[in-house]
Amino acid sequence: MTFLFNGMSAVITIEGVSKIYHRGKTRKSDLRRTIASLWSEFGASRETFYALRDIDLKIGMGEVIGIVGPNGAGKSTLLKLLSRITFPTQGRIMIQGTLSSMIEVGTGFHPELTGRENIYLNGAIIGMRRDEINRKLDSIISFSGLESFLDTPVKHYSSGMYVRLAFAVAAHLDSDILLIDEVLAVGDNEFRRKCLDKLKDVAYQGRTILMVSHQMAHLKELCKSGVYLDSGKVVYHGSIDDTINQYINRVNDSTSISVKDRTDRKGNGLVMIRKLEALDEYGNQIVTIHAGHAVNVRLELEAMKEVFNIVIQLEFYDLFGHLWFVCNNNMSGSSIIKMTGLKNVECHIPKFPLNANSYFMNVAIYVQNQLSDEVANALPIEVVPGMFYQTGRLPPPNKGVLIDYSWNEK
Amino acid sequence: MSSTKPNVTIIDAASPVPYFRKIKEAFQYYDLLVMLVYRDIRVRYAQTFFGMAWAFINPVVSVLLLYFVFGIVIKVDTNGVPPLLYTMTGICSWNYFSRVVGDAGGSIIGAQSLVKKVYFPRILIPLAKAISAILDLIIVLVILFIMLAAYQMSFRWQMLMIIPFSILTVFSGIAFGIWVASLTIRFRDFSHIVPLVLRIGMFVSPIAYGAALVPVEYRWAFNLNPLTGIIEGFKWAVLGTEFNSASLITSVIVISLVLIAGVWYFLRLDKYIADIV
Repeated sequence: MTFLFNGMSAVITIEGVSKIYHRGKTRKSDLRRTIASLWSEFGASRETFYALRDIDLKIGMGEVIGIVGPNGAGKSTLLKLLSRITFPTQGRIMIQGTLSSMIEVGTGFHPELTGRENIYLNGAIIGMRRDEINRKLDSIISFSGLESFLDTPVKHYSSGMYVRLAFAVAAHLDSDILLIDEVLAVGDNEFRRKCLDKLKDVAYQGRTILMVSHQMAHLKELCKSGVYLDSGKVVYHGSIDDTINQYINRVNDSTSISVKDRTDRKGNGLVMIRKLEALDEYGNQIVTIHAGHAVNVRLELEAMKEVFNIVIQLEFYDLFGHLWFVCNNNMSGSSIIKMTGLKNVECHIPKFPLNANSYFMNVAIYVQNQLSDEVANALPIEVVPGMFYQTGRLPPPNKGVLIDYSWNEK
Repeated sequence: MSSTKPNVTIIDAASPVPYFRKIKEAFQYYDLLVMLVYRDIRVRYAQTFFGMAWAFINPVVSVLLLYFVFGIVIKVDTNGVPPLLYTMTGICSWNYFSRVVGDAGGSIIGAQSLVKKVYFPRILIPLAKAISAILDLIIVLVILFIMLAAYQMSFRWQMLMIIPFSILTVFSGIAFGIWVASLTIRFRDFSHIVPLVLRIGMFVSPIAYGAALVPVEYRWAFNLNPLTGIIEGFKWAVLGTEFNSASLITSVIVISLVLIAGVWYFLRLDKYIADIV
């Protein structure tokens, strides 16, 4: 059976696929409910939601396709359906050739087993045969760079070593179709580089890759086409650049609109925040910030009348509500003496000092020391690893801020 | 899976469960089964201080407990066989069975991080538990043979029948292990029910007493316990006690039916497992 699509044969054909999950108590997971539902039809009523809704998609042979979208858009669900981890509620999927997924790093590892034993275990879990692993063992070991730790139980490994070993095994899969879900979110930059190069090799071999990532740079580097999913639907399907642009525009639209339309604000309203966006050093809007890269936070302010002595404060919080740092124009000595009507203001952060994690920004405007406008959680900020230090190495995420320093031998 | 010829996989929400293809696929994942068994055995003996010793201690404690109750306190008739040896012979298959059924229940839930992130035939998880526990069965048989030597029992050709009875024991473990695994995923209450049933089972199986002591009117229910025939068979093979072929046939039939139904139910549940664990 072959599926023709744009003159090339489609290796994955998804037709009208939906996946419905039941919120709250899942599928009759306790006995009491089942017994109750035997004589009561009402017992069965549960809230349902569509993780994917009526998806139609064709993916051609050798296509390297990036899947983008906000959390909860259905990206992982789509990969889970393709890999048969879970089953569609409606629709039909046809897959030509062998398919395997690069799973989250270390999922198949057992801490008590040695590195070598885990290569065999993890390999078997992701679908490699024993003779296949035997054949590739040397190559896997040298890719991981962990020759001298192979007979150490992996519980003594650092997280970086864990990642190396797991990726080394996964990189040696030779199925026709490869599914990758955020595998490259971890590890140091040097190793991530190596992984990206390996994946490029895989792509050159003409194999099909579906990749979910929040890191647009990786997607741009690897993929030719892209799919933008939102709320379980395909919003856009096209070249990777267009897909990412669509996604970024949509995200920015929604956040900038929301700042303007937010009603849960404080202050006397003399100066209001109209628009808020994060830009990279070239002035492009961004949805994720790379640790250590330059960021410009641009605000559009509107004054109802002529006002004096305006102070703007940006506060960066993590999701637990801990304050990490503050940018205040009064402290840095860039006072805004006076404004009327609309005004654009930009805060330049030369090296963004937070490590990979989710943060949000609060904005407060003061006019003559009186709170004029304050929007909490005005801009969500996803920080991804970046070149803060020249080596690209970073401490584990969520451990403190990043600062510049130097070491010298004296 | 690394197959050589291009194949087409069709996932259709409307299609019925392809039982035979799933069974065939489970066989194709033979290498994974081997690794899971290896992992279970390695981890079990690497993790605890006494390691391997637990495989001795558990059955020995059970034997001593039953010997105390039935051999010393109640003094049941053991056809002239020393009661301790009688109980030891009876415990072999029960010890294996209770270990597998006890472990299989939580096995899929215990592997949920795996089950939710990668596809493989999930039936291999309880199957691996049943296979790795064969080591326990072998250890118990070693204890039995040491005791036989200590009691200066001479070798009888019937003792070779331990082999088919052991195989039947393993099948009973697989059959009930698969059931317990799937029922525990679906109804978490089974994590409480199973230990209870196993505790009852230890006393209603003819481990320390003979099935002949059970009143005739209850005998049919007693024989429905699939281990009754196996345990009686062990005692016949090792000790030369009376043998009731009807109870063995009942055991074989019960185990076969439970195995077939268990595999069927498990495979039917398979596509939801990642959603409900």
